[in-house]
Amino acid sequence: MNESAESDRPEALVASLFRHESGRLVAALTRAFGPHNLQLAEDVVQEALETALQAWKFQLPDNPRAWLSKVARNRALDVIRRGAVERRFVDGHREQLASEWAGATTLEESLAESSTAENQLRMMLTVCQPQLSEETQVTLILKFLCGFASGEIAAAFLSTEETIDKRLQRGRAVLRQIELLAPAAFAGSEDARLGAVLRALYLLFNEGYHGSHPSMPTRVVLCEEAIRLCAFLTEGVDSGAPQAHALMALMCFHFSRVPGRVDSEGIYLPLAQQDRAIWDRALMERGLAHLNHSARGSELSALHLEASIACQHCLAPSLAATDWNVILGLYDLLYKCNPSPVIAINRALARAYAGDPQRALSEAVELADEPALAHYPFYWAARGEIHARANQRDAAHGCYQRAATLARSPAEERAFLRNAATHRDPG
Amino acid sequence: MAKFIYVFRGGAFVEKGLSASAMQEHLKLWGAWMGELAKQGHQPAGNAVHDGGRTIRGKKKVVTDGPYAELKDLVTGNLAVEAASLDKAVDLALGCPIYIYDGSVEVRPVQQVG
Repeated sequence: MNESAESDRPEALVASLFRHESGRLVAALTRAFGPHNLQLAEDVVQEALETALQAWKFQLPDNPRAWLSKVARNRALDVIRRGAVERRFVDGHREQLASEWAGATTLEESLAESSTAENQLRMMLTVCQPQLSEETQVTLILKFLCGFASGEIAAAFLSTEETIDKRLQRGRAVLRQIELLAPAAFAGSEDARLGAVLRALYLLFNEGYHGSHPSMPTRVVLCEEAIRLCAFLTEGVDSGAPQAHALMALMCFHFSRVPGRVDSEGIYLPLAQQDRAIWDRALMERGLAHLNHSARGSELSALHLEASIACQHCLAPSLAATDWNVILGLYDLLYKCNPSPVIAINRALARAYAGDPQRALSEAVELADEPALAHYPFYWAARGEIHARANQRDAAHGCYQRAATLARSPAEERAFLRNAATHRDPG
Repeated sequence: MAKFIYVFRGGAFVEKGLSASAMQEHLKLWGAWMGELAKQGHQPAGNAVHDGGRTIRGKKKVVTDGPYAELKDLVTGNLAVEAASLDKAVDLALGCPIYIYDGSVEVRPVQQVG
């Protein structure tokens, strides 16, 4: 099908257009009205989208984004004219928005295509207020930047709509006290706001990638949103902070392996059995470019190390040909950055692959009483694999069975049980 | 082929507070239905109308704001199609997604003159 035939047809609607336009317009109008008028910005955007739904049912406009911008701008001008925008404008904006003409100019600037990335970056920095929990920050990102409704966020986090609404209420209460979107400039890699946004995006990605959804091993849309939003950080001010590039690299590397992660029945495949030929090469390339960018600073953050480990897995032609010594060295550095039991068990597993299963086993056994690993199925799965590498088949079988009892989804459980069966002694 | 007019009332267009995903999902269904009508040669040509407007009524030509209808009866658009018979036109209208949000379609044969 050629391109013009595609775009002539009413059904040629770009995927997620409404959600993404909601995020774009809410950020633009919040910039113009101030975060304390967020509700008003949301109402204007909702009306604009409802108008589009009504108007577009027989035919799409040539440029849907421009169409929406125009409708939103006109609605916003009505709102300013009505005097509904609470006049708590920050210096400089006060007089500007007070007169209708200047209001139009400010709106025009906020809604300009060239402001799109900056608006959304500033909106992200604004909703990641330090006094809000990470869960609340992610909820606000999903609501205001990604255009998800409470019910959709609840489904993504296996939570209830009530819980999500409470988080949104807490977030809105904090945002009501703020009169201007956060500036887009970073104070450097120590910038607390940047750190908060990176953690929130990482949490969002992980919820999609390792999430505990019973029927969907990977929720691709959450991963895609995290990558889309991270691009505002890497393409923004000063071509982004090195840490933002490291996170982007990490996400690209992980996400590139989604196609080989589960078999036709939706059961997780062990790394050794995954078809590396179907991993997404283009995403890996993108990850490599960001990993290069991330090396510009002098800093070696945990994100840099995690990205480098993921990179090694992507580059290896097979499990056996993986450079496990490099990975082990990276885990050593990572453990120094962040001495957590989860990193320790991963390091032990890398050590087993690198050819020292005995030492790996004693490390793994020592971790058995760690409270943080008590309900962590991957501790038992990793320990099972280490036992197998040390030729202790019975112990491997037992560990995988124990992992299966802790599994958070049927896909995980079946994967662990399948591994357990592999190590059952036929005699 | 005879000509028919579909009159649409209510539906998702009068439902407030739908999520962005729900709106896009619904619009996709309209696109698919319209695409199918066009593909089968029914030559659909429609007008989507604004919610607001004016009504002029009676000998005194009283002009009032808005169409004054219950939301479910609010006209949200019309569409001209060509079909072999009224039954066929009704059959085609059954594929419209408007019913998902409790809307209605009135199918009216166009009077032929001459």
